[in-house]
Amino acid sequence: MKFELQNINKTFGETQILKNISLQVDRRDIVALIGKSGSGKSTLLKCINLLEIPDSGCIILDDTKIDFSNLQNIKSANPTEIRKKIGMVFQQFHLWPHLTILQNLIKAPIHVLKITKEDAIIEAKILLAKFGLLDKINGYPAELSGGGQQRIAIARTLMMHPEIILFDEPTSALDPIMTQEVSKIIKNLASDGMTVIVSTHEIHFARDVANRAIFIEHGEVVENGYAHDILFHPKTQKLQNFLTNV
Amino acid sequence: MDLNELKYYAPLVLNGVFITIALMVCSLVMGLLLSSVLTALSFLKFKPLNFIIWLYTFIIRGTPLLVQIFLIYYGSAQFECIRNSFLWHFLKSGFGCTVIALSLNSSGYCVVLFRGLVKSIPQGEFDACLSLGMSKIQMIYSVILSRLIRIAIPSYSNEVAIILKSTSLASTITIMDLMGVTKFLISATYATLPCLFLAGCIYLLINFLIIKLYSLSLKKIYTLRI
Ligand SMILES: Nc1ncnc2c1ncn2[C@@H]1O[C@H](COP(=O)(O)OP(=O)(O)OP(=O)(O)O)[C@@H](O)[C@H]1O
Ligand SMILES: [Mg+2]
Repeated sequence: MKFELQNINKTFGETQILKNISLQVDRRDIVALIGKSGSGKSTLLKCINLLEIPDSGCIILDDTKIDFSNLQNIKSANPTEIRKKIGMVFQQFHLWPHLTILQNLIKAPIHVLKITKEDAIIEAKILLAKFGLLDKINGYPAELSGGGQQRIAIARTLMMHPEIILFDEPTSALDPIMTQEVSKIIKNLASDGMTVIVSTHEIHFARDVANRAIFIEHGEVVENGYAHDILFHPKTQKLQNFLTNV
Repeated sequence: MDLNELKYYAPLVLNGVFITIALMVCSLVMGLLLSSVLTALSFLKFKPLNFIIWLYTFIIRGTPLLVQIFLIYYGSAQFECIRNSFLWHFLKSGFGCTVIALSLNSSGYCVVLFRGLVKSIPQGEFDACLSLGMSKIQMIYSVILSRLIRIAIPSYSNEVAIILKSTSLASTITIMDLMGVTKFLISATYATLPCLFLAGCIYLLINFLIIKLYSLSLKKIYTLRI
């Protein structure tokens, strides 16, 4: 697996939200994307998933390279191909409230991967059992706690067997014990061969899960490297301030 | 009007009720189809098309239904090309004209309603579909359509009630619907108030049955968890 961002730029109206962001990721990496609120973490993740289209820069995933500078329209980037390989777990989960937990899990694999409903149900049951939510299979998302909804959101993404999985602030709504649960889940994903990029402003959590870290401020990369170096021995004043203030 | 007379007119009234219901059902089905297509088109983000749809809803909602019915009924016969086209099969009968007028009218309102409902679905639910690799079409039929139907059903009941009452305008272009029959009875018996009272009661009864049917189907949808 090869995944790379090159000089990603994104503006909303007049303000430039992302400035020349470059990043290289290896298989099984867990990359912590840290930065203050409003620094552009969610926007960057959405750009990786092509839910937002960068103004310029490249995304390289395996043999596919999308150069946004000379992109006629989003269709020519063939976004579904990228999205099939890159899953995303949203900060607010965005489960479909009118569908049961089971339906939430099997819709995409049936329609996108074209697997049979029977196979999808078997797979969904295995995942739900793994997350301890098998008894909720016919319930609705609203019947679950925040932590439960998050695990369903993770399971829904895993049903697509992505190579990379993006987490947007997965711990923002969780208590310390649930946060540890999420750390465990994320580490397991990496040991199963997946690559994880996780945005967070919780340093303890980042120190716990990540082997790589990237610190952005006002849409700019300030430090980028091994998690241990960055989160314990920051070089720049900006990152030192950030680490001591949170 | 004594009881014997009523017995004599009963089949006529029943027939009127039947035509009223037929008008309503046909208009609802066609109106629903038309408004679904227009709503889908309006989300293509193609500016000229959106302007045309906006103009359409503006005109339909801004003019009286009676004017629309008369325009379609008396206006369509004026044009050679319409009389030669397949549309004439519908337009030559008052029934067809009423159904067309009612479904156009209903679609003008429903497009606005449906667009509002689509916009009320949080963007994140669309993002979730796309992020899982669904195409826009897969997103619509596998997730969004069922979501939309659920939130549309309660507000759509208004539309059903309005169409039922609007069918009474068909009587102005010679249709013997419930209102047409009532007018005939009034001129035959001179019993204006009893006849109107009877008609009003029947409309009320039909509406009551529709509401019952509606809440039943709502319950079905929520317990079956479609
Ligand atoms: N669709 C949009 N239109 C205009 N501005 C936007 C849009 N989305 C995000 N922004 C702006 O981009 C900046 C970065 O937002 P983003 O959500 O990426 O930050 P974040 O780092 O994820 O913050 P948080 O920790 O609060 O989630 C913010 O100033 C926000 O106001
Ligand atoms: Mg964010």
